[in-house]
Amino acid sequence: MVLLLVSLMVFLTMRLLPGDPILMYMTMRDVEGSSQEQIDNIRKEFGLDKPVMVQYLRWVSGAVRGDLGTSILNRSSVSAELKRRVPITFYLTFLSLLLSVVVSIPLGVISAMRRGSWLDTLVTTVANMGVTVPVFWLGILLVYVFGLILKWLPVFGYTSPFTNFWVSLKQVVMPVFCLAVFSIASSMRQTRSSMLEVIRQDYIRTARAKGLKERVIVMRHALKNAMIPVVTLTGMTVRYLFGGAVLVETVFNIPGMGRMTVDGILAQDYPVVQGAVLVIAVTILLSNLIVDLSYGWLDPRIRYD
Amino acid sequence: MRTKGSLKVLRFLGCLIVTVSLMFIGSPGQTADKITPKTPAKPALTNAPQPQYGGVLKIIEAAGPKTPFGWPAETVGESVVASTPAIETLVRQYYDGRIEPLLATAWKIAPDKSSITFTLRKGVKFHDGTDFDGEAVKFNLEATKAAKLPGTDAWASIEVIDNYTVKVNLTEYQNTVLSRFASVITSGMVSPTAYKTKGLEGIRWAPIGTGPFEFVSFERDVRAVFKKFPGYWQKGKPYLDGVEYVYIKDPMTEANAMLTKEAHILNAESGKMVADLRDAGLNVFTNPAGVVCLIPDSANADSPLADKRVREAVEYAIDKEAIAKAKSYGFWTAAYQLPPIGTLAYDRNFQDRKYNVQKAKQLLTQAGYAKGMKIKILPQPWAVDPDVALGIQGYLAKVGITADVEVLDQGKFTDYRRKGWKNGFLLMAIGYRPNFLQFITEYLGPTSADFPSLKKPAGEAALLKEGLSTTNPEFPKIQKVLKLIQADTTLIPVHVTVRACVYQKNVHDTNHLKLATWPFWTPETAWLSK
Repeated sequence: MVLLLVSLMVFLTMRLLPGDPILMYMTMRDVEGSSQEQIDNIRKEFGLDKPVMVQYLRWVSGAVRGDLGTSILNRSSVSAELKRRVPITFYLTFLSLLLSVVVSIPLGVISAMRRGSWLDTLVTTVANMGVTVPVFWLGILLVYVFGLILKWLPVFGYTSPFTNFWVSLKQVVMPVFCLAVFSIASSMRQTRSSMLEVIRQDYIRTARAKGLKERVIVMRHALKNAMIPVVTLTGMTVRYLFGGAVLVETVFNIPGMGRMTVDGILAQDYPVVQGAVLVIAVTILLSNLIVDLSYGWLDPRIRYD
Repeated sequence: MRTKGSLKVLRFLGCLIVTVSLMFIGSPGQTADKITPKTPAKPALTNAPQPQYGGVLKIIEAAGPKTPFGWPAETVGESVVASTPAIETLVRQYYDGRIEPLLATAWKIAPDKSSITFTLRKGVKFHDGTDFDGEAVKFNLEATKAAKLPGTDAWASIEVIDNYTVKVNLTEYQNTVLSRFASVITSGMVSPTAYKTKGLEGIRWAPIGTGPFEFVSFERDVRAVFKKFPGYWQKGKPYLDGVEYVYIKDPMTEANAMLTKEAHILNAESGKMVADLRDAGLNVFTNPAGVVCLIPDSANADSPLADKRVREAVEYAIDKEAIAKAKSYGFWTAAYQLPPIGTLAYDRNFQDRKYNVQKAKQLLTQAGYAKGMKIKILPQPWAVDPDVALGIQGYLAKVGITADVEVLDQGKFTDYRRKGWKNGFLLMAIGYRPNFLQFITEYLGPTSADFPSLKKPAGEAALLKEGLSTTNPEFPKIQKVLKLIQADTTLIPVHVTVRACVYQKNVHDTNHLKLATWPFWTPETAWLSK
């Protein structure tokens, strides 16, 4: 139902935009000498001469069968293009999410356990900076320092890790860091505040009174309970990562789905935008589902009937 | 405890499998073949630079092919650039208008100007090993004619006289006709055999021409890769092992790629980035690319711009020098006439309408607009700097003209351009053509489908016909057309745009921007010094 609503909204919004995708196409094709008949023929070819609801139903019926239509601009299959680009964006976002989890949770825990120390101050300050820094600015700064000055990392491009692992690794370091920085910072802050709340609970005091080691108290009793808000935030981060991917893919010239979507919007290439938004909507729905299911694992009191 | 330990191992293995799977799906379906640079066959030992063999030339383009680039009948814009290493034309036209042989060794215009006969080069092969001959030329020219591409309506029919002679019969001779045979769009030669065996789908994204480089691979928005064609007809050429177009959209990333030497050449619009790269020590070559003009809706009788005095007032009201200086980092120049300075059609004696607010106000008063008026400026997206429109808006306000600047997307702009607009100006970049009459024919000629709201000056069609009828373009006849347009203030030129090519110091003889038409370079002569 959500997917249907999203697809309908995108479909109608694209058609409310000023301009005409066929004229955009004719501009790219050089309109000199093109007659109204030629324009009408192309409109017919893409089914844009039909009523909007007929166009929508046709598109939905194709999408159900895995056919997301043909790009108006370059006449290639949208499904095939997404097949090539979606894995690249997923790879980047997965690595960013992984980096975020691996870095933010331990730092958040340490910060909470050493509250008021110089380490806590440092981590909190860095987290506050991380939340506020614009991704594109950070990207430019990283490229300047690590690409132009130190010459350690390539300034653009994407290579599959299976084509050349080391080149691929060097190429994704900066984009992944840029994408992850906001989620690292926000998760770190969330982990810290959740941990501070949990370690003041009676059952933690009881655990300490029983003489349990601090490591066991934190890892076994406090952290798991403190994770619920962090997991919720991580689920929401997926949305942010897809949005950030658009900027990062542009700055680092990565041929992912984000760039394709923006180019599609600018060229009013309806099938491309509709296909890309559908993939993003499905991904976010799945991430929300995973988050909901993980609540039950983290806190057995939570059960879905 | 054992159960918990086993669970941890299982979780670890699970995470590992997910990570590896994502890395696997992160692998693109196809990758570009690698081209290994060879050592130079003959190192240059003399003082004069001698071409060296080897290397892959990497060229940055801001946009990759949007339309197919393997079939000339569908190939335009950025797609023409992508086809350049592989597809050649019958002749080659340089920026100054000179036309030289390429796949045709000679051409002859019939005394009655009813046809052009081309003598074709012998021993030329397509990349699929088939011969380039008269039938191939006929096949390709007929395909572009069937696609109704610009200028092909002048070709009545194409006849093969013998294997290496082709006659193009003309409906009407115009001295712009030969330049059509220099354009990949109208006369790019691809293998008819490949078309027949592979079909349109098989070649539309994989050009098979006679060019110095063979197509290897194309990844949309990433790169197009070409390798040296060993059977190329110019013996000893090309010098390079390959050519790779790298598509980078973000200007800062383009600049960084040049500064880190990850690419050899950057084709760009002039501006701050090009100025910065020039200051960083890279070579920069520029050429006027055209003129940004205000195009009035003078054909609408109720528009104030139908009055010539108002159009003149607008021209006097704009400080073009200031606009060009403020926005171009030294690359643009103010434009007072349609041909850029230094080109054949440029009129040295034309009395420029320089910035003069008093004169502008006087003309507006004479036209009955002393209290001002309200108009629109409709700037072309991408091609025109939006700040130029805002600059014009500011200068017009000083003489009492309120101009609303409408922000448009390409589709909406094309709508205005093709269907007409009201009470204002289109602000559009009009491309340079070596033959000025071609420029007039395309944009202002009687058969032009552009600018229905623009009134063309009386007598223009007759002068244009006269100018186009001579065997070669003649300066006095061009001048007549130009003077008529300028006296009428049909269009208001604002500034000359510049196309720039930034290149590393080890890049030689690419002839970038020396040709009149896309792609503006000659791949077979290019070489890299070690």
